[in-house]
Amino acid sequence: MTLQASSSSVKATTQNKGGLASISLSAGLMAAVLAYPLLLSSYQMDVARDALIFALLALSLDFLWGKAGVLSFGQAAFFGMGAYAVAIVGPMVPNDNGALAGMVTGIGLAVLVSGIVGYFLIYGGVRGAYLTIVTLALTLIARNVATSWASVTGGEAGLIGAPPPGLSIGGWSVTASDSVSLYLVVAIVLSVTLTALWAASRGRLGRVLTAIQDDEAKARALGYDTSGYLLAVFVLSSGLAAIAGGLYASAAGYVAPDLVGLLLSTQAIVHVAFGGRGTLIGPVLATVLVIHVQQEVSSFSYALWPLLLGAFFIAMVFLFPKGLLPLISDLVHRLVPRRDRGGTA
Amino acid sequence: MYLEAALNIATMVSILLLVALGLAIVFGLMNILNMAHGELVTIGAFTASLVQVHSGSFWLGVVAAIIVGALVGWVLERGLIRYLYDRPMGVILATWGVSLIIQQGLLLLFGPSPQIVYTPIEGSITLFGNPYPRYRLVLIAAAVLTIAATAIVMNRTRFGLDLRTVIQNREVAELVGIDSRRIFMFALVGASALAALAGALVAPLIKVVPTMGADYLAPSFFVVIVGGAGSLMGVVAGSAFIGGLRTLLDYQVPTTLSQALVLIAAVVIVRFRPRGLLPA
Amino acid sequence: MSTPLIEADNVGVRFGGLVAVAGVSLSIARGEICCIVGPNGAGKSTLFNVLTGTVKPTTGRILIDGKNFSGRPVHAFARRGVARKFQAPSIFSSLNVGDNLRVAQRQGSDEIHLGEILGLLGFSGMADAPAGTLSHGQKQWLEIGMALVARPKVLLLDEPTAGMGPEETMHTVRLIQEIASRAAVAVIEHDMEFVRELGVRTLVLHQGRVIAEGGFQEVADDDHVRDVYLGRG
Repeated sequence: MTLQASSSSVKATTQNKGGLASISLSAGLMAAVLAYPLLLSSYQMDVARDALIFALLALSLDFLWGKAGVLSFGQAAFFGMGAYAVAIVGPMVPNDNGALAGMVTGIGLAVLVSGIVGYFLIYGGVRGAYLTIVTLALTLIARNVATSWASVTGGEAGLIGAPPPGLSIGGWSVTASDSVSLYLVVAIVLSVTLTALWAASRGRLGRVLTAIQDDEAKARALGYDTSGYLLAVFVLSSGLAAIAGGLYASAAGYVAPDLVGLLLSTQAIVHVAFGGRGTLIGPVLATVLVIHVQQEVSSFSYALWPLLLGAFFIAMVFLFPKGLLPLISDLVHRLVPRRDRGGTA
Repeated sequence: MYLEAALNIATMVSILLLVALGLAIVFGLMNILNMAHGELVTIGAFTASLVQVHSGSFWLGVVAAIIVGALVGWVLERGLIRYLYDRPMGVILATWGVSLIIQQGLLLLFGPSPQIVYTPIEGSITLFGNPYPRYRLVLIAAAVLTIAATAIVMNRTRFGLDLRTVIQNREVAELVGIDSRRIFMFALVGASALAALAGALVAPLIKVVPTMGADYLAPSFFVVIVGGAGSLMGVVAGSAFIGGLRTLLDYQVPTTLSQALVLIAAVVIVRFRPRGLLPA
Repeated sequence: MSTPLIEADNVGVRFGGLVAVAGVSLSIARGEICCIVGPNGAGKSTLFNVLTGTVKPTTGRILIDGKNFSGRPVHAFARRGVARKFQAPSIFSSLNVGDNLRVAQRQGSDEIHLGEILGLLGFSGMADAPAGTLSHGQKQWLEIGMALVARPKVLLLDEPTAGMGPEETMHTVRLIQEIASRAAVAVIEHDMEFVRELGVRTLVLHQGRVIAEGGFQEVADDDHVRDVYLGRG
């Protein structure tokens, strides 16, 4: 009953050490990215705030696509539910709890819709491309609702008057209405979400989701209600997208139907693909980077950006299927010899 | 009133049939989703418009649309999809990129305002005392003819036999010597030509703009989901269901609500018939 | 022995007009190993699919540890203690060896038990190795380990020695004998050397029916069995 232990176990241990190093590197980088805009003008801080909101949206997609393998074009629909709920419900609520009430409504709506649609599809055995198409339809319909249900959504013009984030209990109340506090609210929500998803993915949940992506039939045979896991991830991801949308409306003070189109879903996909699917922090960093590039490009030609996006999709599939940031980090690792690797190299 | 409703349903179903037919066969063959399928409809409509404006003949435009559609499909298969047969998600992403490029390219070349398309057959015909536009009847007839032709190709030709074999069981088909990739290439070219034909035929009835493809992508995928992939009868059943329900609901409720209701109906059907109403 | 842990009571399965399994009864108790043999298309895999809940029987009942489970979903069977090893090694190649076992453990985490299983399989010190890099035989053992780690009452093994050399096959025989002390085991096998080596109760299926049952030698000497199956080899 003896068996040769392969050298891979040794290699894996070094990879773990590397993992620890890259975790602290990521956390440091993340802190720097989050803190830097506080040194800038309030306009630039607002731009950075929006970038972080879209990073939260990308994060919600990465949890679904990267961790559970479900490519979704539906993030924009759920983002829209959050945004419109804050803009519609928010102003109806007295004192400073409007944004919060709107946010809760939006999350509830997103959870309800994703729960119902997801239940029927996922328990019906629908996977892969079929699932992707239904999410695409969700976004198309959400966009149509936003433009055509004008009495509620304001139609093409959208709605103004979404209340800023705030909280009021009894006589005490606080609102975040200036650039610095808005930025901080968004940065805190993003950091908390990122940390929570990262922690959840490291343990049992992450293992089971990887197993389902690898071989769902086998995971089911081991006793996992795999449809239940996929549904839970789908609903959670939709709820997170609604939070991102709610934050956007609350911080910007308005919503417009342009926001909820397929382009938003497409951009979320690009951010995740660019940053590395399933890495969680990658999509966040990628969003900030890509939005910066997007602004540079759009400043000299507005029409060029969609063409670049299209080209990016094709290039990604062929050149860097695991993402561009992971590719760069691989290259860096290969070029820079590391001390803790000395023994086995 | 009832007759008019029936004819409107028939028009809608005909358009869906033409767009979804090729998509269903391609999906049934290789489980591959071409996200640029809607843009082939757009290309067909633009081709018809351009040719009609320059030559004066709409029907010449229809023929040109079929050729251009087939060419674009061929380039797509040779240049992109053939490298990605074993990566369904790669196909979705890459063809989505193509879709963005085509949309934006057309927008840069032609601008956002609708292209001019003249109805080739003016006037109405009176059926049981109700007037109905002649062109729509021609459109319905064209769809019926196309389905019939496709049915003949699938059931009476060697290519059709090979195609059905690959859909049934790709491994067995390859074992008996069928080149499944070649079959797939022809199917994709055919599907693209059909989508472009649909775009050309529908052009006189709608606004021909660069983003029009998106209106056809999701509904035609629903046809495939509801009807079942890889089967002709499935496409007919799916189109009748989606097109019929949409048109009937449009009489009663706002368009947006009818879209949402059709989505819900499709989702519920999938729960109970995961492989569609009439799968291959 | 004691009450059977898994029992098929007159089970039949039909696919349209095709009868895949016709009136098979089978019961296995703790500590027992049962080998199921038969030519291709005899209904072995379908019988396994019924025993794990993947296929619902058209007639008859499945009892797990005395409780009727006919018509329940797959994960309910698994939670009741039915584990299965598929024919092709089916492991999660993106996870490492330890995480494969941890996923299979499903409830709670018992690292001590995990270590025992690693030792039993001969994988001590390999917990961090990516499962995708294992050899074919090692993957088969890992999958057996994944079935074991959940402390199953019933373990169903579908051709556990497929693609193995003689030495690997012998290791597998010892592994299965070790497992039988903890659970009821059923094995589908084509390799007659392996079945002979195992030397346990053997069930011969032909056209969906049990045509012989008994010790290996007894079954191997049966004329009917020789006609339909062993006679050819």
